[in-house]
Formats: sequence, structure tokens, C-alpha cells
Amino acid sequence: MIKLFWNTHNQKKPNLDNNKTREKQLENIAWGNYHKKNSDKWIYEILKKTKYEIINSEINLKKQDTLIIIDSGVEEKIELYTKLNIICSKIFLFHLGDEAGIRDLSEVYKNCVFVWRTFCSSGYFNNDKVKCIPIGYKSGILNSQQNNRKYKWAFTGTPHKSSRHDLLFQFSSIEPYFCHKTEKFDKKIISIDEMNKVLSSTEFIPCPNGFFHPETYRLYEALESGCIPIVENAYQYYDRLFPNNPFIKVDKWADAKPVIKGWGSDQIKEKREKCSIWWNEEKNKIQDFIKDRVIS
Amino acid sequence: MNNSILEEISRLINQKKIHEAQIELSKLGSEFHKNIEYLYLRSKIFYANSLYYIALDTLLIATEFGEDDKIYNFISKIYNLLGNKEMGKKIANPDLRLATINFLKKELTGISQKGYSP
Repeated sequence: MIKLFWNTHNQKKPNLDNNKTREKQLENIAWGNYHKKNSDKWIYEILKKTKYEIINSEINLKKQDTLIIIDSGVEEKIELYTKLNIICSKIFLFHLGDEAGIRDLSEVYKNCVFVWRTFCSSGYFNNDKVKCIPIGYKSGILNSQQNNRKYKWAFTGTPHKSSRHDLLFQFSSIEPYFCHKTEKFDKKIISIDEMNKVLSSTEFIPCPNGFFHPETYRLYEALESGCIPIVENAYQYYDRLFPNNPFIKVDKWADAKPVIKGWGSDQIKEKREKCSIWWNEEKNKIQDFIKDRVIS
Repeated sequence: MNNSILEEISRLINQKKIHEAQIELSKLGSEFHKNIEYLYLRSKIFYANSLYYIALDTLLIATEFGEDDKIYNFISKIYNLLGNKEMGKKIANPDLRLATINFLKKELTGISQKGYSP
């Protein structure tokens, strides 16, 4: 039987004797809870074509079960994966988080038949055992393909580095727009309902790189909401991850100004439709690939 | 020793051998992470690869570890290229640059290296 176990929120308890370890463990707990709350809709969407039974603990596993496990902070869970490998016939891991991608995961990955992971990096673009999946949208974001949109562009997030600062400098003369700046990731953010209202009212979403990695939820929220994403072309990351994607790509935000300012409604409609078709096809491909791997 | 390695990398960059320079820089360890010459050369490679924002972030980090006109002049050059002439002008001006850089760092919460230990 194929069983699915969401395990991101189960992390090692903080070690009170060691400051450095404790900090890392607290971070894993915070991110584990974040993924449980914000990534479930996305993960269940890409697993839509795969049949499984949800379990709440590894004690519900029986010998010869196939396990789909959704997890984060896995580098701290080597023992668990060794144990699961003894019980289950196959383990398929969905590894969430790991934005920096600097940890040695071989001891965990070797217990799995196949791994899907977020935040792609050089070692994973062409890997027989590991495939990168988009980090997806936050749970609660609604699929919207509305045509009449009042904002030319929108940005919500933290202007933590030069790119985002320049983005706001370059685009602030292009009105009307929506901007909500935050001081820290996930702090004083707007509600998901308000986010849905903004996204379904916006034509272009500039998607600057994340703190460590190019990918952010923003891109997939834009696609899900029928907005046109404008991404940074650093390292041609998106062309490597999604060959033939329809995103608008720029090396500097000033290059996107003529597009946001100058595109007419027909051009916008055409691009929006291209993005929407591409995104639906991409999600379908991911769903099929997962289903085929798990049942093979 | 350190200086001769960095001089060699600088020479490669000047000869437009960017890929070779990149390989040599990547061999250097964390003892270089607070070295402003190293950070300057890294930013030159980023710039040569059209990674303007990463170049800018690297130069802003370099200002945390020392002062050098060439760092400020390069920041100014990149702001001019991005189309933010006012910022470029302020940073080129020795009387305004420190206040402008400090203002920028207050806005850019991800730049400050306080507490950084390699």
C-alpha cells in the first residue's frame, strides 16, 4: 500500500546545552511548521494523480508499504530514514526547504528510491535520483484568470538587498501599483485574502531573487493568479529549471520598465494566456512524472 | 602570498579571462571573506557576468571591512548603469558617500555583516 506521511513539523527538540545546535534546531522547527502550514496545498496538488493513504505517524507503516514522505530539516533525521528503509519497500521523499543547499544529504537520500526537492542547484539539474520541483505557491492563493486588472505591478516582501531596492526605485513612477514592504521574512505580511485581491488585480509581478536562492513563492503565486512574472535572469536559473518558459527575464529592472509601461492590453492578454497555458502544462507534467515514478 | 594570488586574479580579469579568474577565486577559502580586495575582484566577475545586483551587494559588504576609493567608484558606476544617476553621483562624491552608503545599508537589511564569523 502507498502511504503518505507529512513529517516537516516533527523536528528534533532543541538542545539546551549547545547554543549553535539549538539555533539550527529552532530554525528547523520554525521552517517545518511553515512548510506544514504553507506548502500543503501545493504538494497535494502535484500529488493529485497519485493514489495514497495519509498516515500521521511512522507507527502506521507496515512491512512492504511504499512511503511518500514530505519532510524538511532531513539532515538531522538520518536515523529515522535508516529505520524507515528497513520497514518500507520503497521511500519517495519530497524534501522541502534547504534554500542554501550546502548540507550533505547523501546519508538520507541514499535510503530513498527517488527524491523530489525544492531549490535546485547545479548538482540536481541532471540527476538520476533527484528531481527539482518548484517551491510552489503558499496555501490559500487562489487560481484567478481575471482580465481587468487595476495595478500595473505589485510587490510585497522585504527589500533586503540591492535588487529589490532598485526594483522599487525603477518602478515607483509607474502607476497604479501596490507595494507592501516588510522588515523581515513572514513578519507583518498582508493576509492571504488581501494577497489574493492584490494578485488578481495586478498585471505584472516582478520576482526578484530570494535571500539565498533565485526562487521565491512570488513567482508561482503570480502564475497561479494569472499575473505575468518578470524574473531576474541571474545564472539563467529559470531557463535551466524550465526550458522554454514564457517568463519575462531581465538583468536589471530598468529593462522591464518599457514592458510594464508600454505594453497594450492585447500584448498583456497574449502573454498572460501563454503563461497560464505553460503553468497548467508544467503542473500536469509534474503530476504525471510523480505518479509514474511512484507506481513504477 | 595572499596579495600575489589576488594580483594574478586581477590580471586575469583585466585580460577578460573571466572564467579562469572565477575558478581561481573559488579556490580561496573563508580567510578571504573579509578581504576587500577579494570582494572587489568577486564583484568585478559578477559585473562581467551581468550579475549587477550581486556585484553591488558584494561591494556594499566590502565597505563593512574597509574603505577604498575604487570600491565606492565601482558602486557609483553600477548605479549609473542601472539608471539611478542620483545615487551614482552621491556615492562618487567623497563628501556624501559615507552617509549615502549608511542610508542604503539601513534600507537593505540583508547586507550588514555584523556578527558574521566564517
